[in-house]
Order: sequence, then structure tokens, then C-alpha cells
Amino acid sequence: MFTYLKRKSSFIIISTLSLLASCATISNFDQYSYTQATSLKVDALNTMTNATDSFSLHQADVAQLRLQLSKAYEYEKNKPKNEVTSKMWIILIDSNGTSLGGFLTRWQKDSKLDTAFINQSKILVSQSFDGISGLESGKIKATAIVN
Amino acid sequence: MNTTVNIETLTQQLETGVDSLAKSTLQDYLTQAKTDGQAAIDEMKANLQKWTLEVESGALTADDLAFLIKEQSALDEMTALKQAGLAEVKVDEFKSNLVSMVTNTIFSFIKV
Repeated sequence: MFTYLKRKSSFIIISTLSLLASCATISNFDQYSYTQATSLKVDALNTMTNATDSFSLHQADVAQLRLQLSKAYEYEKNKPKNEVTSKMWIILIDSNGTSLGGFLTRWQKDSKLDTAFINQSKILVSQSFDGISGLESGKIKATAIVN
Repeated sequence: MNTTVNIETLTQQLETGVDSLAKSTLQDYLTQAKTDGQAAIDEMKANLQKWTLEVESGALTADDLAFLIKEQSALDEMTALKQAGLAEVKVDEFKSNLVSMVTNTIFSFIKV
């Protein structure tokens, strides 16, 4: 009888803890998300380099970049338990903001931008993308899940 | 057959295990977060100094400077979000490891 109670108690404790552990607070590592962030970083920095030229010359490139960024955000937004990464993408791509989205808007408005400004802005945008990919790579890999 | 379990010893072992797990999982993260936070502050300071000099030299306009300061602020917000996300990852790791530790400890005391 005592052994039965011990087993029952152990089962309840372990089941409760397993339930607790299964309630993850953040999504797991996603290779597609990581690849998207690193790939779009390269595209974005290349496009920004062209901002010394008239915007009209690169309008199609910028439109394509904006489309890819929107798709990446949409993917992240609809992933469960992914609010933090989604918020990071919003800051990065917001056309009324002051990161990459805001840079593209300013280029469109001013037609051309100065090299010194572009270079400094590229450093910050680069670090912003690194933040997104850094968080993704820090997430738990599905193969590393214990339970 | 010995059916008694030394609850005191079991509890002590679980407490030690939780303490050790919290230190290894969360303390390392806290140390890293502090280091990253300080690095971000240092970098922001260096950027502001550099941009001010570039405005003085005429390489950057006042509008450029205003934009870059806001851009730095956006980056800081993203850095804070990244740290918050990594903290959530560590909490998940802690919970997952806690289950393994408790399960292994209990089974080492009780032969099922």
C-alpha cells in the first residue's frame, strides 16, 4: 500500500512538473527565421549603400526589399509564442519609424542621402538584424528539448 | 523489502539540485545580460561622440544627427527585447531541466 502511494505521489509530482515545462514561454529555434534574418540583412545593407543615388533609380529594388521584409514580419507575427521577435521586426521595418523602414522613407523623401549618414545608419541597421538573428539562435533547438 | 523513503534526504537533495540548476541556468544569463547591457551603453556613448564630431566637421547634417539618435534609440529597444527574449529562453530551459532533475532524483530514491 505504501509503495503504491509513493508511486502515485511521484507520478503526480512528475506529471505536474512536466505540464509546467510543456508550457513554453517562447517559440523554439526556427531555421527558416534565422535564414530569413541573415539573408535580408545582406539585401538591406546592399540596398542602403545605393542611397547616394537618386531614389528613382532604385525604386524597384526598394519595393522588392520592402515586400520581402513584410513577408518575413508576417511569418514571425503568425508564429505562436513569438511576440518578442515580432516586436523587433516591427521596429526594424516600420516606414514611419527610425530604423531600416524609416531610412527607406527618408531616402524616398530626400531623393539622395550622404555617404557619412548612410554608413552610420548601416551600422545600426546591421546591429538590429544581428539582434533578431541573435535571439533566434539563442532559442532552444527542438532536438535539445528534454521532455 | 525496504519500502521507506527518507523524505528529509530527498528534500535536501531536491533543494540542492534546484539551487545548482538555478545558478547554472540563470546566473550565467544574468552575468551575460549585464555585460551586453554595459557594452550597449559604451557603444551608444561612442556613437554620440563620433556623430557630434561629424556634425561639427560637416559630414553629417543636424537632420542626420537627429535621425541617428532616434535610430540608436530604436536599436536600444531591440537590444532590450532581445535580452527579454533570451530571458524567456532561459526560463524555459530551467523548467525543462527542473523536470529532469526532479524525476531523476525521485527515481533514484524510489525503485519503481
